[in-house]
Amino acid sequence: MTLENAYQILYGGALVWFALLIGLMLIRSAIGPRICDRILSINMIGTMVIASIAVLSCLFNESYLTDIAVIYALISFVTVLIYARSSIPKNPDRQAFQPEDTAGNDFSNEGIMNDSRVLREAGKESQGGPLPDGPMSPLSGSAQPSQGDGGEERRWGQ
Amino acid sequence: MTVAWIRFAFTAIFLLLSLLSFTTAVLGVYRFHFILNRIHAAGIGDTMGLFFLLLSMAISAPSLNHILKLSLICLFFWCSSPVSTHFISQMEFYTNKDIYSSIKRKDIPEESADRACRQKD
Repeated sequence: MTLENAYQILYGGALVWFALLIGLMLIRSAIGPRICDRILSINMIGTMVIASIAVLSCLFNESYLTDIAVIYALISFVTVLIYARSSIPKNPDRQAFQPEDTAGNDFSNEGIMNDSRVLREAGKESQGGPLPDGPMSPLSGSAQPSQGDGGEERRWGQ
Repeated sequence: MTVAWIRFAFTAIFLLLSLLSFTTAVLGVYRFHFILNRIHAAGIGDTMGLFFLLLSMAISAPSLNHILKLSLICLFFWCSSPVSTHFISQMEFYTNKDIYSSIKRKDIPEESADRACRQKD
């Protein structure tokens, strides 16, 4: 076996494996179930396509293919950013953006409202009483997160 | 000739490592039940998988020009992947009202988190 054949087998095997993984991620993006899973799968497909282009550039000894990979990386990044940003509400008090295909997805912004409820429930049940009602507590005043009630800090249970 | 075969061996090792990372990422995206864990699994492929792949390609690259372009892709991905991950997780947080029911924490009983999430205003 010559060195050239060995490189061809190695790169060919890698490309076949990448094609298999891309197919798997395509299935994942089809079954979802949430829109975040779909965007995540598309992001991973973009990464693996860039990897495949890099392998092809070495297989054919053509450095211009790496330029295409750079442009693909830029487009993939911008795609994910636009999809994600368009679904995030700018003002949490307002209703979030709702695309037409909302089957099985809830685009309301109640997640942020649930935070103080969860903490209140936890305070009652596990600590034997409500959480301290200080200026940085999420329970002080209204449950609205936009009023600077410190809910940001406790959101992930620090 | 021996040097060329050693170079081929390093290329193969790093390429196999990158394929392993990508396979781990895909398995993680399929196996994990919580979205933030799935995002973490996808990040493995985005950073480690692509780094090993571009390293193996740089070892076998024919010219310095080629190596510099591959490094540019790697650097760009190391900057852009955390930003993408951050926005996807932020989007999940804002759009999924049942996100707490997937989290198991010691200080919040599971039943109370479920009940609070299902509560209507």
